[in-house]
Amino acid sequence: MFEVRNLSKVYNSGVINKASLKAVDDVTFSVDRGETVGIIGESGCGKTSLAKMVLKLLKISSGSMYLNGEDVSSIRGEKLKSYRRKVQIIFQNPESSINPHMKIYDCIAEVLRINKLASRKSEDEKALIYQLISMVGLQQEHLNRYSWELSGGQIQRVALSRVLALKPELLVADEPTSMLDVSVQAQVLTLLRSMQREQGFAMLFISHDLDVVRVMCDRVIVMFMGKIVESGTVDQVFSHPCHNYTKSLLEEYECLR
Amino acid sequence: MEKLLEIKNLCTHFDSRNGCVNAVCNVNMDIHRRQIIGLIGETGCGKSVLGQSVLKLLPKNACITGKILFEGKDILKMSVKELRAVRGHKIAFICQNPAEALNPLMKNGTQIMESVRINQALSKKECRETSIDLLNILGFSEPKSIMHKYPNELSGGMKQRVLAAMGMSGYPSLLIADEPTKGLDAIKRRQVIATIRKFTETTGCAVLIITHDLKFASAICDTIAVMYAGEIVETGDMEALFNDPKHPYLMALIKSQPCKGLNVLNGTVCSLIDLPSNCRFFDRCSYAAGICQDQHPDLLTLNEAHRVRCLKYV
Repeated sequence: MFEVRNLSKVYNSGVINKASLKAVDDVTFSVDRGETVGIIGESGCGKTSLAKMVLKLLKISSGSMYLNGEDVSSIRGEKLKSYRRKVQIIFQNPESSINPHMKIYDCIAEVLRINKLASRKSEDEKALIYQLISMVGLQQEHLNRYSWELSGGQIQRVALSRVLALKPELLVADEPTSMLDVSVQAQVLTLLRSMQREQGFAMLFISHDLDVVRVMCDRVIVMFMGKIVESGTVDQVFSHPCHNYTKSLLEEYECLR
Repeated sequence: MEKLLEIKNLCTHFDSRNGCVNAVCNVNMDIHRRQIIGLIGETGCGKSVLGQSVLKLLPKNACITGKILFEGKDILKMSVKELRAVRGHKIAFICQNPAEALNPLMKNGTQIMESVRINQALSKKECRETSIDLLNILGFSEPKSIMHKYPNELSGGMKQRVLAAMGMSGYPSLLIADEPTKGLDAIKRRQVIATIRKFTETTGCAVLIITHDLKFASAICDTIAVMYAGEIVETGDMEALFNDPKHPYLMALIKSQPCKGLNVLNGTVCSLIDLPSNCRFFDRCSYAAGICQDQHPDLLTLNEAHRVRCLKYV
């Protein structure tokens, strides 16, 4: 359904001493409908750059992306708008992804208004929001609060409800639980899984926690220094790692057991 | 073993607009020399506040009562001057957010050297050498180039280690590390464990680790204390605690790990403003009985080292 071919991202820096850094280097992969693909790798290996390019929040240096067979690597205007409706993201840091000046109700309503799903302050809008928050397990009293009055797990739920409002085809989850506690992490991950079963979206799950990836994903991609060094089903990669980096990653992980 | 730090009936509360927030209630804890003790619990259960209370690093509206005896002296009664002699020299603190803790306008080297110079009377050249040694111990392959870089040029894990170098610069006898592995991947986490181990072995310092990462805690700590809603609910040897957890909260916490089946613990922590008079875990507990509704459990001694706050074992 979603395909990425030879995608690269180069960051240029410096005026006099020009330097360039290849954050993502010649990456090719695909995601099917209803499937969860995990991306693992150390911090700074280009996982987040890749996610931002998929969302088209970052300009692509070279390569191409396809959604449902359609080339989306250089779309603009209306087409980009409709693309962003289909592809959504949950960020790593829930606190900073929600405007602290707005009440939770307005944060969710904003998404509906921008995408013209309901008219401003109508009964429809209210009903839709109530439906959304009950889906993610929040209460109506939470709508009148500000983001700093909620816990990390609750904010991540708000972020998820905003995403679900648009019924996306692809959801990019950029380390959605790395800032959360084990018990809250379990809550958010189960929720994410049940929502996926309900709505059938594909998921690109970025994480460095191998345990989480093992539980959540069907397939897994291992990135190292901007390149994909290994990919395959979770069982394959975890039981028979081929690349040295994957091996050392798994070894280190087993040590902590 | 010799007692290094003794916390007696420590209570910390904050006055806020909505009422008094009881972040830490009646905590008793002993830390011995060379001991690595872990403090685990959910966000907002007061574990960071406990760590900061020990060094009096809290904002002005915090009110700390009880006793914190460090080498026989009460930290809470010390003057500012006496406190300065303890902070950094005797007790060092590595704070939670490496990205915010470093000054973005100063080079890493300058920041490390600053803390070295405050803690040890050395010339500038010696300071530089000591800083480079520290960075070497912490596993940087090119410490000299790190010294010349700004914090924004380093990754999260590297910043964490620069902060650790600053914390260790005074060769303290107690190191408090608040979430040292937050946001680090498996390999970096392993490095942090190795570094802390090596540091305790070479300098004989005790470490208090505040974390919510159970795997990390089980890999490094000798003793563990579990906090819930401002109270310690269970303490004991690491092995005893993880192999045979007694408190329902710890049981649920262990089960909610991805590798243990991702079993969800429903509900949220009770508010720290109006604390219930009964068991604080009552609403979420799957073993809750009638008695739990009326009575607040005390910390019960099961055997010499293992203590638990639950009415199930009365």
